[in-house]
Amino acid sequence: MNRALIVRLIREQRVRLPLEVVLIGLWGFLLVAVFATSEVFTKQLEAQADQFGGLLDLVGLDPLAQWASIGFQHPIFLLGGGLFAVGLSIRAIAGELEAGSLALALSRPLARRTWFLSHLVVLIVGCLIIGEAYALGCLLAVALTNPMGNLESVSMLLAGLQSALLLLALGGIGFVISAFSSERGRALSWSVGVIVVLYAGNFLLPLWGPTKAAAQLSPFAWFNPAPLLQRGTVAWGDVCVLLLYAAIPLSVAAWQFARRDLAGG
Amino acid sequence: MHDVSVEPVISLQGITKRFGDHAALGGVDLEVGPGEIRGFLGPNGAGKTTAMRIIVGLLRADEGTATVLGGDPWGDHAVRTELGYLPSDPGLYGRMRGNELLDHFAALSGREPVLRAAAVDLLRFSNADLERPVRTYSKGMRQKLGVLQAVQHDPLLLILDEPGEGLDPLVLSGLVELLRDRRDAGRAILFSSHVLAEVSALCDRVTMIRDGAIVGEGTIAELSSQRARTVVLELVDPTTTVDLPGCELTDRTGTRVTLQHHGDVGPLLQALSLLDLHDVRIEEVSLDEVFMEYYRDHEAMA
Repeated sequence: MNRALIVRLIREQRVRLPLEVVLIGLWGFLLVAVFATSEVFTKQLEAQADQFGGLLDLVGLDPLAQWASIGFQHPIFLLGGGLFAVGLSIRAIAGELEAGSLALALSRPLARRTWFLSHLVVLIVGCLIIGEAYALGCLLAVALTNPMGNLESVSMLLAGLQSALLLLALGGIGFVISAFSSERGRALSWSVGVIVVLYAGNFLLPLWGPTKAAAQLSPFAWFNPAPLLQRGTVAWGDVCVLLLYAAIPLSVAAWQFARRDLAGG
Repeated sequence: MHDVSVEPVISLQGITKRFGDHAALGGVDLEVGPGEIRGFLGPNGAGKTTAMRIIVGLLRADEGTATVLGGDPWGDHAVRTELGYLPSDPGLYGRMRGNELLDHFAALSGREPVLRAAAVDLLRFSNADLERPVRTYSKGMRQKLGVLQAVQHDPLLLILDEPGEGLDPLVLSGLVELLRDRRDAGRAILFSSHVLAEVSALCDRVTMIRDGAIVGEGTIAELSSQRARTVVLELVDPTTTVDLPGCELTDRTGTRVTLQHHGDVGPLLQALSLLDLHDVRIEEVSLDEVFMEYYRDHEAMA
């Protein structure tokens, strides 16, 4: 890693990342606040509580937790986090190559591995901040609005970590496409295209028997924070697959970046 | 730590580079020593930038050996500690202020910007300019900033791709002075330019490249001596027979005879002394003519 490079990357994010963090945090806050103030939910919960007594607690189903879980998987959260992850990874190689700044930077005694790792560190930290921003937004709303239901802080923060893994996987897709490309626009189009296909595939492929199994190829299929938020159990299998989903494209990107010609710009 | 006293500073041997079906470089040999300013000339697409990018380590040669400052520029990034590079279209971070950008690149180099103040003066930059965001700079100012980031840490080797591009004559003279100072301090400089007057004024030696192959190399005097020089005679008697060694008649109008002369001027001067002349003019071959002739010859051969 290179300190000067990381400082520059952080400075470049000094407006965009805080803005995204605030918006994602606000999204989490509003989601829980709406839940707490909505008569429909409250009445449903009261009815369920009357009807089933302690049954909901027994099976571990909590509408608030389910609600917060949906917020993690909602396109608003994915768009906000994905913008950061994919934007950073596309700019890291294809963007800087096209702009001509990569040639200037790598004419210094800076190994390509160092360049890559420095960007990766910023990507990981940014994804963590965004994931936890949503979790903290939800928890803040829980503290202020006192909704019916239960949302454990630890589970919520762990789900934030899990969502950071998903965002890292999206960043990995951006990185690998960026490493093979010399044009920012083309790399961005491909990345967005691939991610949209994977997102849609996660919903559409299970609808038809023969393609059901193929849905497992999408990283979105391995991100479901509901069990964690409702029962407090970490789905380690899902976590491992998401880790692999991030690690494999990032490794391919690092390998390709180290060996490729930098002829653009 | 690399032995920076090794000679030559740049050594390319049989370098080839292909981009798909296109052969950008086909067996290029080039050596540049310390304390030398080498001009790298060629038309657009000749392979200058490709060769420079191989020297900087941005491209890997398909074949051949590239040695820069005693190391392999592709495999050993540490050699670039002593390198300054200005690409033909430098990408400068527009949101940074000029000073911040220079500090950033100095930090990436791991070297103190010992030459910055002197270079800022020579390139006629003001402190107020350097406090402005780079995105507000004109093309010429961006070019000056590009030169500054390359030279500010006083590297042993400067690779400059079209450094004079977009600079006004006053700044250009400052750049020439700066590069001469560096040459006198023992630094090696390889630079490409389309402004042949700039090359003539600055270079110790010139390498000409075309279609990925070196077509000429030497001092400007050496290159000029290999080319035809124009000899213009004003005869006293228009009927005088003119048959001079090494000369080829190109025009005869009245008493004025124009010839192209190749080779040693000694026999020519002896033969001229025997003619009855009003005037004689032997025109020096300019680098422009050398450049144009090299490429005309090459095109004809092709």
